[in-house]
Amino acid sequence: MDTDQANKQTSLALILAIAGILVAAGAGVGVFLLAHSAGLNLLVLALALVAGGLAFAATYLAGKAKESVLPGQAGRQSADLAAVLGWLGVIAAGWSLLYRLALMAPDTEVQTLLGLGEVVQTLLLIVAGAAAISGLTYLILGVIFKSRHALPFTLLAPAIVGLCLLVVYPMGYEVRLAFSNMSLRHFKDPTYALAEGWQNFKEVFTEPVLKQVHFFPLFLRTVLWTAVQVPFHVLGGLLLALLLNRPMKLRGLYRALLVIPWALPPIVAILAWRGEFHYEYGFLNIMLRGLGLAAVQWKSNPTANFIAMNIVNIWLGIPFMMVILLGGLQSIPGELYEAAEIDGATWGQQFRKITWPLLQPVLTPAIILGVIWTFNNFNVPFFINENELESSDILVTALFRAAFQYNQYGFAAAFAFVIFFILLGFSIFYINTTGALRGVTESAPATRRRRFSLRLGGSKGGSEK
Amino acid sequence: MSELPVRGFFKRSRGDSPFARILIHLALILACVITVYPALRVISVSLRPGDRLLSTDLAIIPPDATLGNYVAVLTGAFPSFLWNSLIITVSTAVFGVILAATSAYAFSRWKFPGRGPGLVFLLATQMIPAAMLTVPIYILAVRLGLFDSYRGLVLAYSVSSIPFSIWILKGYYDTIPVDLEEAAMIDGASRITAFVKVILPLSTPALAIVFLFNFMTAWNDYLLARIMLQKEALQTWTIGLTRMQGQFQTQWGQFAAASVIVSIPVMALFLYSSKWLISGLTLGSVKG
Amino acid sequence: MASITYENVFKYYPGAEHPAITDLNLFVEDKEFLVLVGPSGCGKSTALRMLAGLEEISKGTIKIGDRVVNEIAPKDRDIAMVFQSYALYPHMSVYENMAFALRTRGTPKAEIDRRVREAAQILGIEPYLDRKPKALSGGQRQRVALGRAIVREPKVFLMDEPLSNLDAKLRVATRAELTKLHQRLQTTFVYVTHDQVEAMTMGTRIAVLKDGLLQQLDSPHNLYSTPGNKFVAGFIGSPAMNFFDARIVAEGDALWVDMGAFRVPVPAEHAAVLRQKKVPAEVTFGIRPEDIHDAAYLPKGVTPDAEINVAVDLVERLGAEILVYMIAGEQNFLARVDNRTLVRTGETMRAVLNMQRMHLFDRETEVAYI
Repeated sequence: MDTDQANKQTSLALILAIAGILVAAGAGVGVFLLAHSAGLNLLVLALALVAGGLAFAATYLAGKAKESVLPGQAGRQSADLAAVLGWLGVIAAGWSLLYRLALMAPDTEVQTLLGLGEVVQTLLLIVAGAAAISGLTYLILGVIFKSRHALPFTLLAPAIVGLCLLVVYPMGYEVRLAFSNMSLRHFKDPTYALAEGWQNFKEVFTEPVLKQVHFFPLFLRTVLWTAVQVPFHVLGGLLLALLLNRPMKLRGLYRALLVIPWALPPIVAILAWRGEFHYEYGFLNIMLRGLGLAAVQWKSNPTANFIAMNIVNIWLGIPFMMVILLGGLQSIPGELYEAAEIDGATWGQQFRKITWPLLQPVLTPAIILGVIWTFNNFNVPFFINENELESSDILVTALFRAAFQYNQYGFAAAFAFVIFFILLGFSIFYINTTGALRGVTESAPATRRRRFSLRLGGSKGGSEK
Repeated sequence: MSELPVRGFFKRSRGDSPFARILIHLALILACVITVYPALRVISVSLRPGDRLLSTDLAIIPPDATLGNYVAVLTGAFPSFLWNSLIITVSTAVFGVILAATSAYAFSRWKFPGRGPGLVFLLATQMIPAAMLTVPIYILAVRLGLFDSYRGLVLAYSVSSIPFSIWILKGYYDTIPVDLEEAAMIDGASRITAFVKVILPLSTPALAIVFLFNFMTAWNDYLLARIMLQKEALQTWTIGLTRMQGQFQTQWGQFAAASVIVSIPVMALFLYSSKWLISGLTLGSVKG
Repeated sequence: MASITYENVFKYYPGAEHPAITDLNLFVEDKEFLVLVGPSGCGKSTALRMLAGLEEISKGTIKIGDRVVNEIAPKDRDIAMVFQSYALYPHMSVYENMAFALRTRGTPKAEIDRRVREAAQILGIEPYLDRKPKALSGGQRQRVALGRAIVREPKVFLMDEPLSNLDAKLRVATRAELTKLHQRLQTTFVYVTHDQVEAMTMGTRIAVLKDGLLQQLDSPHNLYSTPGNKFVAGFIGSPAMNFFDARIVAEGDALWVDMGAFRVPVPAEHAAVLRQKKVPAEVTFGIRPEDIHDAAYLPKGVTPDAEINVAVDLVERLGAEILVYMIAGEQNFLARVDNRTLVRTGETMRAVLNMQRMHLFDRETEVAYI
């Protein structure tokens, strides 16, 4: 492979790539503009296929050219350009093909293919958007301002934009809603005013949130719900993890089975459990009756319903803790236990002095997440509560009902913020007292001593050897 | 990394006594039964002919088991729900992984202004009650014309798993020594090349887990799908399934069959990725 | 031309009180094997990493050849580096590890293959080309790390304590191989270590650093026989030099070094130098263990002028030599004596100091007079 041949290949690749893109463009235009007749459909499809072929050949040739000797940077860049153009051509051709096919499909299948087309289209748009955002960020930060933080922000830019769209902007909107009286009646023209906001927040605490239940009972019930759940999750998970943390024959099978509550789609699991709470045919009552006890009205009795919710969520929540704790247990070096054995410690002492303290770095974030997820758990209370007993609602389900069943949008927004700040307050308190996140905002030990100190990358930091 | 420390927790130098071993296995079997039983019940209902949820028989495989329910579900309107869910889930999972992989890398390897608050913000997003953002998102979607189409949903799913995914990936990246990237840079790779060719291949456990979580989040989602999609042809299986347990007559057999069918993809993926589950989920602990 | 120049180089870390590197001036000749040596935290790794481009240069310039490389990215400096941890890519085979740099630069496949196999042959790792790093022993991994650097055919080789993760025997063997490699490749080597034995055996010149300051840059021989200050004197040479607080006492024409418990005469030529330099009375006296002999077994050329009586605290027999821990008055010190010595722990011994090889340092500045 010599320079000449490589040059020829690169040139050919470029030509093919450009040809491919042109033909794909033609196919793309044809997708929308040409009428639907057998002949024209075939034409568009053929164009798309040819374009795809040309473009793919271009990428292949470019790759081959790069393997042989290329005359320096320019040659290599041409080959790269050819490859990129080629891939663009392939994508464009593929899209044209799919879309035309979708438009051609008989009615019953139209939705299917159109759905696919729409998803692909959206993805392409999102990818292009993300690339554009990143590129723009790099341009501004890196080229214009020559900031040393250009590269990290370029990597983060799409995520930041996405989160702003999905979180920050809606939050802002929600704040505005909280200070309004938007509801079904006032949907098109709500009043936004401080007074409305004040009114909403007052109502959260004083008026019934739904039909009857007030805020504080709801709050207490949510706290009770969380306070019952999390210890069970941790204890159950810990017990299972301790049992599993040894070489044993069926270990893989046990782990696979025990993880099922987490792997099942929550809807399926919850609806299945809901079936089991049926008075006559649910297995809980069947078993109770079999044992000679009275059957329980799981669905209509408030206390029983609450217990039912708890049973289901405990069942659902243990596997996650188990996996986390298993990981944590495995990271404890075995030598520590050996040393303890030599020192004469009983397993109770070993647990208290070695296992438990060394699990904390893993346990604390898991507990924080567990508390947050349990507190905010929507699916379980919502679905188990088939008869929509207000006594079984926790804060978030009440919020959902206030918003979507009673359509009190403004009020619901204020309510939502109250819930959010409660959780935020708890988390801040918990994190501060346990110092849980101390290690998180630092860098990894590997990077703590030596940060990347390159011009377009990092900052100075750390000590040296 | 070895799967277990040389000496586990309960072990004596010559291993657990046989008595302890039996106890442990019994305890685990009991736990498995409790874990699996509700799922088995669903399967058993799905195998019953006609409508016979309503029976007090506790047998798992009913004597007159039939696959009729599955046939009914698969030839009805349900497959379109499945298809919709599938295309949305796969595409958003792929994109979500890419997005999280790059963002987590930035958090792991650089100290930039706003890094600490950024990480705290990511944690804070987990605290947002589910229904809190649904109202604004609903209103936003209606106003932007994203309502009743996939565009809004794809966007929402891609972004919603980002915080948790970044946490997991960042934790994993932190365990990879910086030496490797430095060596790659001296070898002539740019930062991005070093990231793609060195760091990413080494992060496959965490990437697999993030893909799994993204998949699960999108596949299992009920709330967002319910508020964003109204046309029946567009809906996902979560809406389809909940409607099946409907107002008047519930076809329990078919409902159970549908439940089983929708569980299969995600469970298969879960079991396939389970070997990475422990190593990928470091959550701040030292990699075992 | 692949010489290396550090010109007035400083390195500051934010929040640190003192600079990590202060005013480093260093010139490394082309094809030289320069060793940067010093205790932990002296800045030797920082200096190396600034040369590599992995740390920013706060002040001053670094040149490779005639080119100032301050703003040039590592990949464009034409250097190769061997890390202490080897930094081998775990997911790639040995072949791919070595080929990675060449592939990234777009080198043709045939050329890559040639260079990788040649380097593998030089280092004796051909049988391992298909293995992954985790299937290799420490010594083999180290060679792969070397191989990865060699295939680059760079202008400069940088090595950051590459031997510290090897066991003692392997370290000795690899030292010799590295020296031979240097001669074979005829390229500039810059080598960082905290082990002065490595420094002495491998370097053509050694730069001793302490607390970010260059103490002395010289050949191994010169560092050993004419150390510039007390730190270098104590750092180079194993076992380390003995130091005593002493006074220079004049007795007529002669000068004596008085250490309280005993005193020894200063040879004439050294006395002249001391007088000329107007050395103060309070000094630090230094003498190496190998320059203290058993009076019964004096080597040729050593005069028995400076004889003292000592008590033997401990005798360590190493086979080829014997280390004697001795006490004179309040002073503890160490001597390396002929292995025919018959002294035993607890006895007394007549020791002779080879005052031709004496050293004298200023008490405050620690600069060497002799």
